[in-house]
Amino acid sequence: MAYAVSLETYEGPLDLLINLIQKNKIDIYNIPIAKITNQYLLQIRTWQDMDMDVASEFVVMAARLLEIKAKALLPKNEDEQEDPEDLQAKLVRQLVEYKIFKEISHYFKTREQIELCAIYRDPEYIPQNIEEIPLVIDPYALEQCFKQLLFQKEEELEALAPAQKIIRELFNIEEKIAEITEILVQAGVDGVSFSELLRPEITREEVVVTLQALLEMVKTSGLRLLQNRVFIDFQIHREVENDEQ
Amino acid sequence: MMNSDELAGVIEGVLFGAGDGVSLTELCRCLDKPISEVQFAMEILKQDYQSKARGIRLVQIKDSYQLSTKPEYYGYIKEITRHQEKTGLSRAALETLAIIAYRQPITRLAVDELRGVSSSSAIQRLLDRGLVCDGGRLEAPGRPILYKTTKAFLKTMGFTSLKEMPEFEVFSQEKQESFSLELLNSESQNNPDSSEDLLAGMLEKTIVDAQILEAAQ
Repeated sequence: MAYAVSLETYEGPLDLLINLIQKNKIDIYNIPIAKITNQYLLQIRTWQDMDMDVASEFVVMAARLLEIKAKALLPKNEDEQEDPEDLQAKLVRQLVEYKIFKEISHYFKTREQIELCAIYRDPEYIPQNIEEIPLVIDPYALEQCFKQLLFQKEEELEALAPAQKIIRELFNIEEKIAEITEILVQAGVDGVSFSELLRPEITREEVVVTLQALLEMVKTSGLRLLQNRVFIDFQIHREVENDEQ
Repeated sequence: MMNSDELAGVIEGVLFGAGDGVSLTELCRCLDKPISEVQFAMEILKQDYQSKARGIRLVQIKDSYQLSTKPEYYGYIKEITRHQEKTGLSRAALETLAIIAYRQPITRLAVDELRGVSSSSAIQRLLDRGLVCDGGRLEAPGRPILYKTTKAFLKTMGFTSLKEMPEFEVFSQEKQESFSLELLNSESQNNPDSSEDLLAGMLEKTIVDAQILEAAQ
C-alpha cells in the first residue's frame, strides 16, 4: 500500500467548500454549483485514491451538492416543495455563517496564544493556617477536578514509564538446540514427538524457544519433521542417520 | 489616613499574596474601604503597570482581579522557569468554542449543524479544560444540555467579560476590516489602557494573520 500524505486538512465539508471557493476566487453568494460540485467530488476521489477514509459528513455534502446541481438542470416543476434556489440559498447561508465562526476561531487562537504567555502565581500553601470552612461542593466541579487529576497522573506515569523493558532471557536457542540434540541422540531411530520435548510445567516462553530451536535445527543441521495432518503433534527425526543408511 | 497611592500598594500586596483572583467585594471587605476608593486605587495600579518598567499586569475577569506576568515578556521568563511549552486548543476545539461563545447557551446538535460535522469530542475536550460548562437544559424532546462558556474561557482568551468580545458582525468578511479599524481608533482614543492596547495589538495581529491567510490561499 502506498504511503499517502495529505498536506491540507479540513475540519469538515463546509471547511473544504470554503477552501474551494477561496481557491477559485468565487463570490460566496454566487456559486457556480456545477464547477464547485466537480471540484468537491474530485477532492473526495483523490482521498479515496490515497486510501483515506472519507468521513460520512463529506459524502452527505457531496449528495447535497449533486441534488442542487441536478435540480438546477431539470425543468422547474410547479408542484415541487423546494426549488433549487432555496436549496442553494440554504447552503450559502450555512457557508457564510460557518466562515464567520472560522474567522472568530482564528481570532480566538491569536488571543489564546498571547494569554498562554502569561504566568500566574499559585496561592501559597500554608498548612498550619488551615481553617475549617464548610465546603459547598459542586458535584460537577468535583468530577472535573478528579478527571484533571487522573489525566495529570496518566501524563506523569507516561513520563516516568521506561521506553522499553529488557527482560532477562531465561532460555536461549543455542542451549535448547544442544538439549534437543542430546534427546534425539538418546531416542535413536524412532525420534521424538514435539510434545515429548515439552515438560508438563513448561512456560509459554520455553515452548516458543523450543519451536524456534527446532526450526533453526531444520535449517542448519538437517532434521526431518513429520506431521500427519495440521494442528496435531509431530514427530522429529535426525536426518543424518537416514543419510548414513 | 491612607492615601490612594498607598491603597494601590496595599491592593498590589493583597493580590500578590492571594495568588488567586480576588473579587472587588472581597477587596473592599479586607481593606475596609468603599468600592469607589478601591476602584480609584485600582486605576492607579493599572496605570502604573502600563509602564515598560513593570513586568506585571492586572488581569480583570468579571469582577475579580489577579496579577500575572506580561505576555510580551514570556520569552525571557521561560528561560528561567523552564515551563513546558503550553499547547493551545486544536482547530476543531477553537471552532466549537467560537460557536458556543457567540451562541450560548447552545446544544451540541446546534453546534454540529453550524460546523457541518460532529462536535462531541471537541465539546468533551472543552468540558475537560473547564472552558465550557453545563448551562441548563433545553425544554425539548430529550432535554439536551445547553452549553455556555466559563470564567476560565474569559481568562484563556484574555477577556474581562463576554461583553468585551467583538460584535459577531465584525467578523463577516465585508465589514471585518472597517470594523476592526473603527474599534482600534475608538479604543485608543477613549481608553489609553493597557488591556485595551493589548486588544488593539491583538486585533492588528488578527488582521495581519487574516491577510497572510488570504495571501496563502
